[in-house]
Amino acid sequence: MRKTIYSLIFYKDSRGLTGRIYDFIVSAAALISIIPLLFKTWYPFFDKIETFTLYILFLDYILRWIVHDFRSRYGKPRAFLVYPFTPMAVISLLCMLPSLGLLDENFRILRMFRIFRMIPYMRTFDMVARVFKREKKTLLSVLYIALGYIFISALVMFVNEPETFNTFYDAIYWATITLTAVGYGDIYPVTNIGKFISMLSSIFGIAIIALPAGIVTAGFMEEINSTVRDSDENDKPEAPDITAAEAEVDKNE
Amino acid sequence: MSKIKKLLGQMTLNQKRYAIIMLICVMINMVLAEVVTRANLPLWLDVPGTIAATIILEPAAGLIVGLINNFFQAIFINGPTTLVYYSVSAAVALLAVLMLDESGRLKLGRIIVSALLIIIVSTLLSSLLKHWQSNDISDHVWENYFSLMAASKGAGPFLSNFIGTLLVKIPDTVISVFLAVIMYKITPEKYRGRDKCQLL
Repeated sequence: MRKTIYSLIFYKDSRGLTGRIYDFIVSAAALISIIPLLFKTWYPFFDKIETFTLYILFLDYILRWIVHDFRSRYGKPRAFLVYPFTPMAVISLLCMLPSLGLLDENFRILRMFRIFRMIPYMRTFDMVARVFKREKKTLLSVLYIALGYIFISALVMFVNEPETFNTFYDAIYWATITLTAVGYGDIYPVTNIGKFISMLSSIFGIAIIALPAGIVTAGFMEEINSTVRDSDENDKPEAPDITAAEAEVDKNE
Repeated sequence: MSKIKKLLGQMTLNQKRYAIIMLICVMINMVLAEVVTRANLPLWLDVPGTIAATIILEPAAGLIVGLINNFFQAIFINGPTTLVYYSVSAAVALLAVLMLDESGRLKLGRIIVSALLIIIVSTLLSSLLKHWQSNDISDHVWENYFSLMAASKGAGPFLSNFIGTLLVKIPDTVISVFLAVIMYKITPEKYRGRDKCQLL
């Protein structure tokens, strides 16, 4: 019975119409449930949308829990205990809590996370996830460098210009905005050292921001190429057995 | 009607067995819950079918039966906020497995242990959910009555809510388990268990 449910939810290659309908319903429910958040006024109709989509998302959450042992690397009892702590399950539960009456309405912004419920149904996302997974080490190194630089430049600025930066948080904010080349201009250095660090940050920022973009792009290209290669190999007709054919000709001669 | 017939025709015998037993269990839960509500009895009786589905078929069947009942209650009776109480029926379905021994037969000792665990776990879960969701206020008349009684003896809000739930849960679980065991006994042996395709 659980295998039937599992094949309905997860068997992407061999699934039939029912599986595709299930995917469509859950994705549509996740998308529709966000519509009320786009309006400042809460119309009575939104309650119906909220209730209806909540039923679907809750059902999906429970069904995924019931079959989690088929997907998890853990054994049967442990897989069920682990499920609520998996990232997708945490997101799913968080975005349902306000509607289930377990969190105050002030937390309704958490419903926004329902958009992530569509992720498992997006095939393209698999590719994005694979690229990020493969380039994890490089991307993390760049992130560490960026974070280190932000911290050091913020510290220098905070010590150097205490009048401009009231708190260390302001300095961190300025360093991040400058490094990423956004530059809102609401906080800016006035001393020469401050201006010099600002220039350095801008130049350094170009390299730091461009680096991950390049890594991810290269990863994507590689991923796309390997996908194309795989599909070509699958489509290729079986090569004729030349040696056997030649032997046949020799025999006839 | 013809579509239902066509669908039934496509189902294997094992799938039909699952569908029929689970449907009966869902109906039992609904009917009994409705009867005790109308008769204003200090019970819920909304899980005998869930327990029965677990011991006759498998835990997943009990989980699905509980889910269907919970959805029915949420959609037609109490509203979506009661969906969280599925955790209680899910816990009942999972604990009911303990009634069976390794060979899949019911044992009295195991039934008693399982019933005790069901009482403790489901009372605790219900009380916690009520505490979180509605500040220890229940919409069940008898539960409120016992809670107020406990509160008048000096118990705090959570404890009085816990006692109120427990006092309803004890007879409720005893009767539910008893009914589930009867359902298990009256089900022919060839229809019990997980994989019976070869026997049918």
